[in-house]
Amino acid sequence: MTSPQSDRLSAAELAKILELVEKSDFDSIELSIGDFHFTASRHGAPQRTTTMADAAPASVQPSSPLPKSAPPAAPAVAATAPVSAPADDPALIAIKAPIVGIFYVSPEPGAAPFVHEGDRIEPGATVGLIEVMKVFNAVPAGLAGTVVRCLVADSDLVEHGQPLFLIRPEGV
Amino acid sequence: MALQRVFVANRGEVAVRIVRACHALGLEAVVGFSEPDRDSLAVRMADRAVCIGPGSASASYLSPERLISAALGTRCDALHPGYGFLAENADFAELCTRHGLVFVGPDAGAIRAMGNKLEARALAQAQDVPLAPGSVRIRDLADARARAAEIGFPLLFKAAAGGGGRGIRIVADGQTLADAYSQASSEAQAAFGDNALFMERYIADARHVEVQIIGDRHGNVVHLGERDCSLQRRFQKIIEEAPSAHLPAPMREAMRDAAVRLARHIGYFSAGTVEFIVDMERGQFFFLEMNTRLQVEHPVTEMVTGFDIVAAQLEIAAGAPLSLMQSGLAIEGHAIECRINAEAPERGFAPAPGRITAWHPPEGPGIRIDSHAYAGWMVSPYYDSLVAKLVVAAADRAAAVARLRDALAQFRIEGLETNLSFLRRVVAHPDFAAGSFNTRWLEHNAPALIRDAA
Repeated sequence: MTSPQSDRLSAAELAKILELVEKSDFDSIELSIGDFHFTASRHGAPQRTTTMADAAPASVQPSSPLPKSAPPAAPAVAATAPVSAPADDPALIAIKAPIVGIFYVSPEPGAAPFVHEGDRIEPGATVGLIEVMKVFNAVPAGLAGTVVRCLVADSDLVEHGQPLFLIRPEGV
Repeated sequence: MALQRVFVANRGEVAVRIVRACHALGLEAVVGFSEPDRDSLAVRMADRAVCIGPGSASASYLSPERLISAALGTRCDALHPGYGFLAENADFAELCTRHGLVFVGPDAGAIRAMGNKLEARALAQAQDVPLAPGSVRIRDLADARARAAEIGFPLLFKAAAGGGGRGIRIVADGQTLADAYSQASSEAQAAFGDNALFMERYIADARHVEVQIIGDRHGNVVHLGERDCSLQRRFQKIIEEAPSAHLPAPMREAMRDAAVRLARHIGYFSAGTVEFIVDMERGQFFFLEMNTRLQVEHPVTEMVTGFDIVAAQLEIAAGAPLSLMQSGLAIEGHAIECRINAEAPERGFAPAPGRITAWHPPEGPGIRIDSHAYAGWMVSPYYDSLVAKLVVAAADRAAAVARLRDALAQFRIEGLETNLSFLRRVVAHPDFAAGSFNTRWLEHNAPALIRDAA
């Protein structure tokens, strides 16, 4: 997998862009650089700004756990994260995405995430949802243990087999 | 609408071909791949690649939800289906459109109309495109017997929903009719979920000739000449060439006109192929079917016309008018393609997956290789056995045949069994050099050619 676009902006670059927008006469700005997508608005209704929702307007359903709306004047940023390599600790086990789709950390927008780092989980616990064209698939933990790391951000595209969480299994 | 990023919903050599066309037009290509294809050439070349599922095609390349989900998640604005898999699935084309993805192909209506062979025949008939003597839908065995008496033996049973050579049975005489009917019917049900059949006269001395057409969204349709694909095994093409040798000029013209007429009538856009069977004895040609997608053998047409069919598909999908007018078409020289498969001819052409340990394709002027293979690549058992398409072009057919012989002699693949030595025997045969073969030639000569190759 390659990523020819340098789709990662530094925090400083982002701040600079915001500053320019603030000084400008524009009410809102939309910016796409490779997979990086950015929307900010100064006044009025908050703009929904996610990679998935913008790309798939047809899938916007009232019941969809759409990521939280950006508060006015506070830009929300969604960029597709690269697959993080699991930590070197061989004792950790990754929960992997069973299907390609859009990953959600919580059952509904604004709701608490299914799991946090440090949580103890049971094999049957749901750790996230993956949306495949309006169908929401629960991702089961599949093992008992402690969540060491969440590897994927809310509403990111996840590949089939992509590690989502690192778990320290029980009794190891 | 200008396209920016194209999702490649296919694998193998055609995925590589589409990525190349995207890059040639300055478009980004995102490749969706299954687990066994993680190290594939298309994935390496892509601007981005997304694992869409496991090896089983039904959970990856045949899964509309996964493909569209991955395309939207990577913010693609178009999807190229390649050939095979979902390329001729009208529902999939519709689903893409509904989700804001431009389907790089014709519209769903055209796919649907041509996908049903009975409907396609009716459309062809309405445009005075000649049809082989045959029947409309057969109701039952008694009906089949009555029709058989009108058409005469030998004849063919074909699945109404079929295509690509599947669901076809040859019936030699009245005694085998009942068996062939029930077999063809259950085969059609299993393969296409529809047991409807029709009958057609079987033409013993036949050539398979097809016309490449391309149309835009503004009503322009042109042909890019024809290809001869008579060298087939079990209705699967092995060697294709352009233009067709030994076709009488008036028939060539009539065939090209018929193809354009049919495509124009259904408002066809993107690349498509109208297939005909030529009855060599009677000097007639008949409509077989129309394939509403990019064809495996499209490179031979590209070699003699200098026209990039895949790039044109992308431009047309973006709404651009055709860059070529019919009067501007020039067919120069002759091109031949061989399909190199990972298979064992001496074991009934059984697929022979394995890891390629050495890969030395031929090089030189007039040689083109369309392939996803490299030394170290694993030809997996999940998919078809096509490893490479070797395409040669030269000033005339004789020179092309000579170049093909040289190229095949140079080609070296190690680590798995291929049909390379079988192909060398085919192109060394005097009948091939003379261009005198029909659709049964390869099947008939295969046993002797395999013996000689061993």
